[in-house]
Amino acid sequence: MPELDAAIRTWRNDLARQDTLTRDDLDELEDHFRATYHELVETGIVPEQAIILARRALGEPQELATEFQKNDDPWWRRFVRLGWVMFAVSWALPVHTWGITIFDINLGEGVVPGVQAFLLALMGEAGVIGVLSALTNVAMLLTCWKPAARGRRGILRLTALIMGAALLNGSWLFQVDSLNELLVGYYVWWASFGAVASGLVLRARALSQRATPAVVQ
Amino acid sequence: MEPVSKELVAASSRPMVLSILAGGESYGYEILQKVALLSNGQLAWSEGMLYPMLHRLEQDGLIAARWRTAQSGRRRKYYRLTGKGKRQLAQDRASWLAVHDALTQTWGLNHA
Repeated sequence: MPELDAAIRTWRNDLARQDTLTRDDLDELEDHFRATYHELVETGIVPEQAIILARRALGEPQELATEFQKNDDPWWRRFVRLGWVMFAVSWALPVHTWGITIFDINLGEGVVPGVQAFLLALMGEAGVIGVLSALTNVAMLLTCWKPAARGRRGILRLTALIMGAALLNGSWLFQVDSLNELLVGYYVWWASFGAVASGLVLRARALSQRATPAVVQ
Repeated sequence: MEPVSKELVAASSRPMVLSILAGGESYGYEILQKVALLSNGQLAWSEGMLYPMLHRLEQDGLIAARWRTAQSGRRRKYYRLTGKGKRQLAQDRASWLAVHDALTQTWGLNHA
């Protein structure tokens, strides 16, 4: 049955491109495809027509993927969203008790909100680590760009970047004279990297169980 | 006869699968065939609906699955009812029989 095998290979590749189904899902659906095909052939339908009908019975790849996606574990999304919210909020929260300010936002004596801490660090007021730490915010913004559409490798690279950023930003704990200098905004900002990294790890794990399209000769 | 509504099909899908698996382990295609046979084709289940539902029931611990080699020599995923699934089936059965009894009595009174 070379025609059937070729048709199933093409169909599996179409499904695998949907990035929703695992290899086991595809094997299970293929078993269903073959069972439907054999039943149709037994009723007297010609093999070519049986292939078309079996494929039609299972539905379009996109529709099937949508149905399977309803079962998709949303935990990675929850972690990433939580991280984004914490990250966004941290820009308005008090971060540090530096006495320097760029513009006047009165949060209390010498208290700097996240947005000012970012600008000060970017301008080199906190040294090279400060500049690098400010740039980690760009890495965080990268995670907002279609994380669900990235492949496993892309997600792993992004995870490594965010984990590295979390480590670098955690180094502030050792650079201040007293932990009291760091305020709630810093901790929320730092934790946001951890939340996003956790979400990305879960996403990478889920993707490792997903099917990938085979190369059709 | 009109096919059963989507809502009723969805509501009855869990007890239907659990009931079929109460008769012994089975696989997706066979379950779909049994549903069509038992309902005289009235319950229109699609493959796109069946497998995500089976996986959901598996996640919920109501059914368990294992891969076995079928007669064709290919891998096939078989589902069976778990202890939790049996308890759920007993609850679903009581609920559906209660609905059935209530409707039967209502229609019985109306026809009288």
